[in-house]
Amino acid sequence: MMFRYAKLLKYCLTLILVLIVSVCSRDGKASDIDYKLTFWSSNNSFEIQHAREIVSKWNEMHPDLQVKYQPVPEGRSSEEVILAAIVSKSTPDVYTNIWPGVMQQYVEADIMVRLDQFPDFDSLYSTRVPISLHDKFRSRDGGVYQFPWKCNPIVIYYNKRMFEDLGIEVPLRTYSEFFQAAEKLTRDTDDDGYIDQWMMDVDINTEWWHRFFDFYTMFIAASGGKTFIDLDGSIAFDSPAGIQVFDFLRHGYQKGYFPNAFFQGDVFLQQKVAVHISGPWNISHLEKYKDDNFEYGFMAIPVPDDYEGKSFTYGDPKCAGIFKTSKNTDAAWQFLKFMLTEQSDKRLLEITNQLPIRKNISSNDNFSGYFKEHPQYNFFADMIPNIVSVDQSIYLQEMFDIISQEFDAACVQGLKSSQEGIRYASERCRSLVKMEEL
Amino acid sequence: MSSPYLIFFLIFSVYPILFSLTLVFHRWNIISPMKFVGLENISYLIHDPLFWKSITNTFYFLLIHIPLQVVLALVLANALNRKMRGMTFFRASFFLPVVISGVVVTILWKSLYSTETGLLNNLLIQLGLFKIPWLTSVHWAMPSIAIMATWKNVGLYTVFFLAGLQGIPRHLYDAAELDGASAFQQFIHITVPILNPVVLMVVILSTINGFNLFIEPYVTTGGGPVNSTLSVVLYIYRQAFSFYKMGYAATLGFSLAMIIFIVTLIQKRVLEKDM
Repeated sequence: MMFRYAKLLKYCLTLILVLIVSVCSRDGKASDIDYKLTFWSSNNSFEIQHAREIVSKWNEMHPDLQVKYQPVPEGRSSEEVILAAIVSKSTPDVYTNIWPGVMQQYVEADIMVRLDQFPDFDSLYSTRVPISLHDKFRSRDGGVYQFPWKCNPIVIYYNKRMFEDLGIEVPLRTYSEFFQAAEKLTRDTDDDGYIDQWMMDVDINTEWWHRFFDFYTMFIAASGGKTFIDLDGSIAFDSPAGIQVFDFLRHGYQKGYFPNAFFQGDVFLQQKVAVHISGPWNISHLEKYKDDNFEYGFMAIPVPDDYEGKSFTYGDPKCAGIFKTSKNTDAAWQFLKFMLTEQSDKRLLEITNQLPIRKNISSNDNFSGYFKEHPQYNFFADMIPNIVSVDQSIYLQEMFDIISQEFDAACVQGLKSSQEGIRYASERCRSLVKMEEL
Repeated sequence: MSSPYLIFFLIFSVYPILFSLTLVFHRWNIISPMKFVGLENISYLIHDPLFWKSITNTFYFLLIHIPLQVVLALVLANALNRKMRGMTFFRASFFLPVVISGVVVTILWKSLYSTETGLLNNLLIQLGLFKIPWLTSVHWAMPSIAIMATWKNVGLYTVFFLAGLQGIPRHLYDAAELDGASAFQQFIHITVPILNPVVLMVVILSTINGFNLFIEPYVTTGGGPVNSTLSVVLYIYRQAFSFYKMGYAATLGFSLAMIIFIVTLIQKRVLEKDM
């Protein structure tokens, strides 16, 4: 028995030794010669196709500096997968699906390469990124650690047939116009005494990220492009705009224009609701599954009656960045720039139907062919200069969760007034901002 | 001989427990270094209204779920403890939900419970009754979840009771019958007292499982409406994996373990006294 254990122990020790030697050799000279940049992208099939094409072009042009590509591994969310990679120090050199909401955590953990340290960063940034967005991706220490890459502006989709049948004109710009239409469109179509067609579906799930598609986007529109935290650290939604949005949502539920129910499937596609808030990704979904008689159009997010100004919306941006685990950050920057060229952006648009964050994209000759062939994306492209991102805060998810709880209590259940809901949420968010300053 | 188990025990039990205990006194978001905060997490927990809300919700769930489960399991076990055609089929049918994934069961029930399009409300309308906001009303959401969880788990406890029933000697019933005892009297005076150890086990297991309520509210309501279905485990999950507050999540986890321990101890004392 003892002999068998001794033998087993010997095998284990040998295995450990082999592993240690192989791990150590990674830091040695031999590995530098064979060093390949690693690049991860989002794992949806279109982005994989785009990434493969770009990497293959790069590898052809740079035989001395090859890039190894892989889509981000499967997980509940790509943020969780990246978190696991950070902990195990196995992050790629370059990653192109960073949600700006997690960037502050990454910056505070000192795992991102500061991009504005590269000498040609400024020229690339000012050439590519619309001027209105220049400061939106800057971290709290003033540095830029993420390069805005693509976006999905959130807008209102509406069912053309339903609107035309009732003679409702579009766009519905103000809350009053929206509710006038809602009064007509919310109906009991089979006369069983219950409403079976509603104006809009606003998800009642309180999971924090659902608020991107109702309160957050509507607050951005109502406040003229503000996010939750102002530059001076005050809570921006504790304002008339925040209360007006809560009032809008509360009124919608109380009047029954928005169903207080969970549904299975896509209620917009099933023509149970007349309008739906979503991004451009929904177009390919609708085109694939819609009936022949189903037609849809787009509108900007409605605003309070007294609002004057541009139409702002949440842009759902994704950024590209370089992790500090990279052993060749200069080469990683060269590859990242290659990802951001006009040609690469054009292929991104053509393959994935996702919009690169790029100046004057709808009037650029290089992209005009695409927009002629896909006119439905013009509406989204025109919104790019007016998109808004998220705050750079390590407590962002928690703030969204707080808002979500108050949205549920005040708007969906009507257990408190809009003012009370907003005030309570802002008090709790204020204490989080204070914690961050400590 | 016990060393493989010892290694397993050290890696998968002792180490995580000690690590969690360390986390109780630290602030840690996984990617930044841990920061010692002393008793800050415990103090925050004592003053956290959502923690107490989740505790109240969990007890409310148990209050509906455990009696419902014990009574239903006992009734089903009695019904299945006889000779009749197709008995194996019935026994397997009642056990089936136990082996189906909790997520699948919950998605099915979510569809049944849908206020506007669900099968249950359609039936109620057909019967001339009114729609019930099963998952969207503060008053209905937790009882609906308790019913769903009971449906999922009752098969397991039915099997326990069935095993207990089959261990009761037949001659006790024969003697009682000769003495003129009715079926109900036989059930109360013979079946129930002899099954008491099984009842104790079922209550304790149901309590432990009930405290771990997670999948049902996570999939159906997300803890709403107005946190009325926020269970302790769902709250721990949110703190750990939505907000990455590992220190606070560990503090919540330890508190839950202590509560389960105390409640189980009380149940054991009370039920054993009755035996």
